[in-house]
Amino acid sequence: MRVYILRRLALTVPTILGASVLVFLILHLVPGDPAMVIAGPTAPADVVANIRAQLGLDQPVLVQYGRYLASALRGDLGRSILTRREVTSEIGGAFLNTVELVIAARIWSLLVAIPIGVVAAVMRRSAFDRLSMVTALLGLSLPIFWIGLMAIWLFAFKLGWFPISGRGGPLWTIAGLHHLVLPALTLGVIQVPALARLTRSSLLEALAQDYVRTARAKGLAEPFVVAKHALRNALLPVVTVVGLQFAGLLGGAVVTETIFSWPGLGRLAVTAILTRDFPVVQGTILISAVTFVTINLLVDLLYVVLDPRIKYS
Amino acid sequence: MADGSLPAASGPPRADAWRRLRRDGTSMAGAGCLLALVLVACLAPVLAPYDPIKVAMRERLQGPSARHLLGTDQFGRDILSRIMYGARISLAVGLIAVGIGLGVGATLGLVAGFSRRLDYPIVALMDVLLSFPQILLAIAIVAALGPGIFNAMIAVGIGAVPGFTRLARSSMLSIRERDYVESARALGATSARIVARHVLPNALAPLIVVATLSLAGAILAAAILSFLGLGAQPPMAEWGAMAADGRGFIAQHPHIATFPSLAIFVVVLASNLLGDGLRDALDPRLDE
Repeated sequence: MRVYILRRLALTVPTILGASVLVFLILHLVPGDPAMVIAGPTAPADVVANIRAQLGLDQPVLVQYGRYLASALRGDLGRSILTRREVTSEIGGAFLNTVELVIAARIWSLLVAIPIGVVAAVMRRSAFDRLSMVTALLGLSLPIFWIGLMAIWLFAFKLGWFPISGRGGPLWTIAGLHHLVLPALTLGVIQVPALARLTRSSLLEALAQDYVRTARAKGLAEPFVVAKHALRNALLPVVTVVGLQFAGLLGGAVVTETIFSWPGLGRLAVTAILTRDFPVVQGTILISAVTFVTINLLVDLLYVVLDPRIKYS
Repeated sequence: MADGSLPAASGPPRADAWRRLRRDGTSMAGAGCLLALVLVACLAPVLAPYDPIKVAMRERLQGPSARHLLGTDQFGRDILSRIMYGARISLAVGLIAVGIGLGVGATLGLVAGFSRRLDYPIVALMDVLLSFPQILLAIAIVAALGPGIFNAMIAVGIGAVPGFTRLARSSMLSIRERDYVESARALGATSARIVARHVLPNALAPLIVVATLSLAGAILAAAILSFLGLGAQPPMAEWGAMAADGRGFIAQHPHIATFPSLAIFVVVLASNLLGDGLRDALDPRLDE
């Protein structure tokens, strides 16, 4: 198992390196002269030259990448062209805000989806099962921005229960929690259908296993059979998907943060793209990729712990 | 069999699959819906009651009425007409993006599965692409190419490549070991013939299913990019961009954002239903 873990750890290095190449290339895929694009069409030549020198664009590409990687490893992602602040300090707070939003969305979506999936599986082919699966399919097809806009319309404008947008402060304050509800609700709701469907099909499969029949034959009560024997095994694929869905959550966070003006990584990235602030664009995308790779790594390692049946060599 | 070919085996015969698909009411409803949208997209200049980009400030911010069935937006443009024209953009963007993903992805996957030398570099590249959440990868590409509907289409297409590559590669790896491929090889068939005659037909079914299901994802992703201001630019009638227009008027005029969003919902749902139906029809083992 140790060999497996070490090998899995070693595998993330080339992936992250590859991601850094891709992020580095963003600036070089810009059609035309990136310095000119950033400065604008009417900028004087010395301003363009300044930007070119600041971004190191006057060096050979390999040298540029080497420098980019070396500074990134030291935690230096350059300076924002717009605010002149260090990219790492721009990203730091935004990253934590996104984590806050994503975890809140994750928790409530699990709390809703797993019970729905379990009940749908146990009461298979009942009206509840059909209704929940149809709702899941409908929910999967709704654009997240509309869900967010409708949440604002209903809960902020019509009912006045929650603020329209922004972050109210730290999570432990009332204002902080109050502001978190609508964005987290929006981001979480798009995860519920897939999770509920997966829990249902995974539990149905587990319920058909021999050990469940044995447990029933022993005379164990049905809730006990479901909870203790079937569900524990059924949740394994759910754990994987919970990890993989972080991709969707990070993507969804971009939209949610934009709608609710939540000061997170996604909103920072979109604003930076629209203002052509490339160092910030590169920084936000690199951090997202590294986060995502790390989460996938953790999910894989968690799998080893959760399922001793799997042999890793 | 003298030419070294064997009947393409495994999987249910096509006629069976077609019959199963036709009997599946929900997926036929999905197909019907998509067909209707294609018609609306093609006939938009005839069907649309108004010019989709003509500003009419006197008519602005009207709710649904007999004159404007779905109301007007903040520039007085008829929302129904814009949705009809928007169908052209959304369908084209979805189809082209999936086309890029399928074309590039399947080719890379088949090459990776067939050539031991190219397998590792291709898989490594895909792992790197997969290290970005799909929408972020698309955003990264738009960041480089610049905002615009054409670039958004390329970005969504590239984002779909890794999925198709993985699927085509794994199909290739499993089909390569089948007895009928072995027999064809023993009979002297060339690699190209084996791929064209035995591997592709058998790898096609899962690729078609995933392509149909990806259509929904691609349309949604392109709409999201436009909503964020990174895809279609004003005054283009694109559903995601139209929903973004409605954002500032959500308190008093929620219909501006709602109708284009519902159009996205219908086309995504229809593609999902058709994709699910195709999956069940082509591979009954996957049912449940």
